[in-house]
Amino acid sequence: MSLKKIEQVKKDKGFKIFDLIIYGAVLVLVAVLFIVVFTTRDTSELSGVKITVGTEVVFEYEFGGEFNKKSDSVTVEEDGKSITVTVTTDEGKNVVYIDKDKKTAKMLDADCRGKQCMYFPELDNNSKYIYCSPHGVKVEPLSRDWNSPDIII
Amino acid sequence: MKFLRRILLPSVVCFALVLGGGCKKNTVYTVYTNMPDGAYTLEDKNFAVEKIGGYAAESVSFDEVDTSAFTPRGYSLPAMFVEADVVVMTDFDEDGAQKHYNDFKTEVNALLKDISNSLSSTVENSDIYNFNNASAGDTIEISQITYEVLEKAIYVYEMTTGFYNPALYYNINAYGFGSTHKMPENSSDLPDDETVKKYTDLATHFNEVEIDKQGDKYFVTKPQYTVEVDGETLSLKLDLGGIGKGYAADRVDELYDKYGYNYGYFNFAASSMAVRSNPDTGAYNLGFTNPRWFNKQYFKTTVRGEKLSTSGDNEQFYNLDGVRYCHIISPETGKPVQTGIMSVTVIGGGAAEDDALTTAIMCMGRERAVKFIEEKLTDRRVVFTCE
Repeated sequence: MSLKKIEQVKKDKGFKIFDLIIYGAVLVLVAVLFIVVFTTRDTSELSGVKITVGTEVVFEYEFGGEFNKKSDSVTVEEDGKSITVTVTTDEGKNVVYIDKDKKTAKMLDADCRGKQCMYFPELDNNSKYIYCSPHGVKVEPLSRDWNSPDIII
Repeated sequence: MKFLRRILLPSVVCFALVLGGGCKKNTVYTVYTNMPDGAYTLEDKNFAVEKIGGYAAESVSFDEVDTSAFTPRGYSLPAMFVEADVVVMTDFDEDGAQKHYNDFKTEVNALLKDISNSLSSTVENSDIYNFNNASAGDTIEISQITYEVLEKAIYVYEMTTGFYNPALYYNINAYGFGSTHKMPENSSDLPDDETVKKYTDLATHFNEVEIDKQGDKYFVTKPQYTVEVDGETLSLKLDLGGIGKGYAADRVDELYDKYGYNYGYFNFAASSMAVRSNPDTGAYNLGFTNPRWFNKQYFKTTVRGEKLSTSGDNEQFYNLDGVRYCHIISPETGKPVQTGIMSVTVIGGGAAEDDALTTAIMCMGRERAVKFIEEKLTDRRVVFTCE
């Protein structure tokens, strides 16, 4: 680079108008994405969690209340912030973690093949269920909105 | 400033280009449908629609009723190893409405129990259990339920030239989707080709199953054909899992009629449904879940006053050495389907037929499926999605 060119670059302004347009566009894009994601979410909270094995309900918990262990196949550990439910079937074991503060549930561990159930999103009011197909274990919201005009297949 | 202009700015531009490139990436999945434009919406840019011709059903009009006093009642009940949702919307403040609803519930529960006890291959002394344990050539008495389901199964078997075949019992079990075998944990647990071939050969004799009605009694006769596997003589056995939930949806739909409930729906584990009207929106919104990304919807349509069924390779499956094995068995190969079709939904007509048809379409592969839908399913809306 010639000396003249170097001097020219030194004299240039820190930002040109094109730079500012790009930065502005990126900021607008981020703001729009933020607004779209957080305003279209169903923000109503999950009321509780139900765990079934096949067709048998083995565990129920309503946030703020006491859990209801309905089968010997279930062991429960509870502390102030969470409940960890271990479901043991002939097929294997699933560990469900319920976060009392966030009002969510997730499949913490499973010894099924593929462990697909561990990749389900956390159960909140936007999700339908978490399902471990090999073990037949299903984690779903405790109460259902029978009035909803939406059916998911 | 130099840092901003020479490092940050180019980085932002590159990031934007990558983001833009991501938005323009090639479509991964194809949705085939015979639905007219405007009857559906595509919700995910990774899916593209290919149209199928032939759909010629007429639109149906509904009486407008004042539903302002309507409230929902719903419950879930276990049946056929899954859960069924029953939803009714009516004016429950009317005299006798609650008792009427309780009577309806009692009848629905009894019906589903009867269907389950007739069609289950594992419940001792069910019709199908008795059929499966009978000798080749035997005739056994069955219930009206089993007779009606077999009648429909034979009809769809013939209509689909065998792509729906409920006699693939041994294949389903050999791959771990029935009650007799565990799911394979590695490739060496899979059945060998010779055995699969014999099981499949046996299933091709489903067309020799004979059903008979004499007065109020019903009978089924088992084919004479047998095969030898590991020194054991095997006769034909049935698995009606691919049609039973649809039949249940048809029968529960009749109960909605009987009790005068025109609002609500019956949803049998998202596999088969009878959908009535919604008091607020008229039609129900039907969202299709991405078969490869749980809880993400890619396609939407509306349903009202219709029955429908869905099958997919994401309901029961496992992966071994990078190969996906699902519970739907191809009658051509005798192995879990790998046609590239991930899910099929058929809307309209009877749910039992739809249930069997979705299984058949999964097995056809896309080209034969398109031809079949164009020629045979002109009165139903069909959606199938391919990898």
